[in-house]
Amino acid sequence: MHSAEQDWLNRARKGDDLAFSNLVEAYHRPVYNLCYRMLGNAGDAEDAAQETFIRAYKGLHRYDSSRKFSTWLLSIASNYCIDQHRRKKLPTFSYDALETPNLPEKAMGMEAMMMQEEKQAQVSELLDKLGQKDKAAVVLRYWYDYSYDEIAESLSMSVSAVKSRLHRARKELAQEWIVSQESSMARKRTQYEQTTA
Amino acid sequence: MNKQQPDPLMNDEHFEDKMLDLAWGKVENSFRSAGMIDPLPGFTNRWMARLEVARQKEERKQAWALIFANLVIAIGFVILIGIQYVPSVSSGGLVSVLVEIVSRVVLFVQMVTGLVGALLRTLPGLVPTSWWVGGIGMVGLAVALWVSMVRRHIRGQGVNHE
Repeated sequence: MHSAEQDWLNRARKGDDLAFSNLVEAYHRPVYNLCYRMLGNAGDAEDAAQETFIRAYKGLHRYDSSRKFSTWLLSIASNYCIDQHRRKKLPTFSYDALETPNLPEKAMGMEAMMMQEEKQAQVSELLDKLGQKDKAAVVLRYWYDYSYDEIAESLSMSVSAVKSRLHRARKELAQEWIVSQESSMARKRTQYEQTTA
Repeated sequence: MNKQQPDPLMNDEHFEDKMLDLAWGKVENSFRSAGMIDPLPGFTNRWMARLEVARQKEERKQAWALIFANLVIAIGFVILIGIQYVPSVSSGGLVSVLVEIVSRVVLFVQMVTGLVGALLRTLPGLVPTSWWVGGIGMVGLAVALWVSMVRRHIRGQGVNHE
C-alpha cells in the first residue's frame, strides 16, 4: 500500500472527510466501472458507486489493513450491486439504457466511437445473460485480473465455488456468442437474398 | 446411478469443444478490449455532497429515535401509573376511576393553594422589607438573564427579529 494511501486511511479513520475524498478520487474509476458492468446503465452505476464509497467511509473501522483497499472496495461494490439487483429487480439490458457512458477513448472519430459503442453494447448484452454473482465473478476476473482467491474473498464464497461459477459462465457466454453469430449470419443471408432477388 | 463426473477442464479456461473454445476466445477478447468506463467528471464533488446529505439524514434519524425513546419512556410511566388503577377499573368501571383521579387532583390543588395562602399571610410579619426588595431584584435579574440567553440562541439559529 502507498504511504499516501495509508496516511489518507489513517486520517479518514479519525473522521477527516477530505482525506477520504482523496481515496474516492483514486478509486472512483474502477468502482464505477464494476457497477456499470453489473447494472448495465450509467444512472444506476453512478448511484451504486457513490453508495459504495459512503458505505466504505462509514464502515472504515471494519477494514482490515492486511487486505488490499481496492479489493475491499470492490467487494462492497459488487455485493451492493447484487443486493440492488435483487431488491429492484432491474429490467434486463436494453439498448436505451446505454445512455452516454463515458467511453475510454476521449478523442475518437465518429466511426470509431460508433464501433466502440457497438462493442460496449455487445459486452453488456453478453454480461446480462449471467446471474449477478456470476457476472461479478466474470467482471472481477476479466477487467481487474483478480485471482480465484481474491474473487472468493470479495464475493464471500469458496475458491471451488468461484471456479465452478466461472466455468459455467464462460460456457454460457461462449454458447451465447455462437447463437448471436449464427443469427447475425442468417440475417445477413436473408438481406443478401432479398437484394439479389 | 447416473453419477455426474467432474469436468476435467474445470480449472482451465479452455473447452474441449473447438467451436466453444474459439467462441470463448472471442468473448474474452471483447471483454479485455472493452476497457474501463468512466463516470461523468466531478464524481468526488458529487460524493462529498452526497456524504453531507447522508450525514444530515443520519442526524435527523437520531433525533427522531431520541424523541421516540422519550415517548416510549413517557408512555411507560403512564402505563405504570395506570396499572395502579387497573383493579379499580375492573371492579368499578372507568368513570369511577376518572372521578377519583379528578377528585384527587382537586384535593391536591386545594392543599397547595391553602399552604401558599397561609405562607403569604404570615410572611410579611416574619420577613423584613429589605429581604422582599432583594428577592424581587434577584428574580428580575434571573428573568433578564434568561431573556438575553434566549435572544442569543434565536440569533444563533439565523432568525432575525429586528
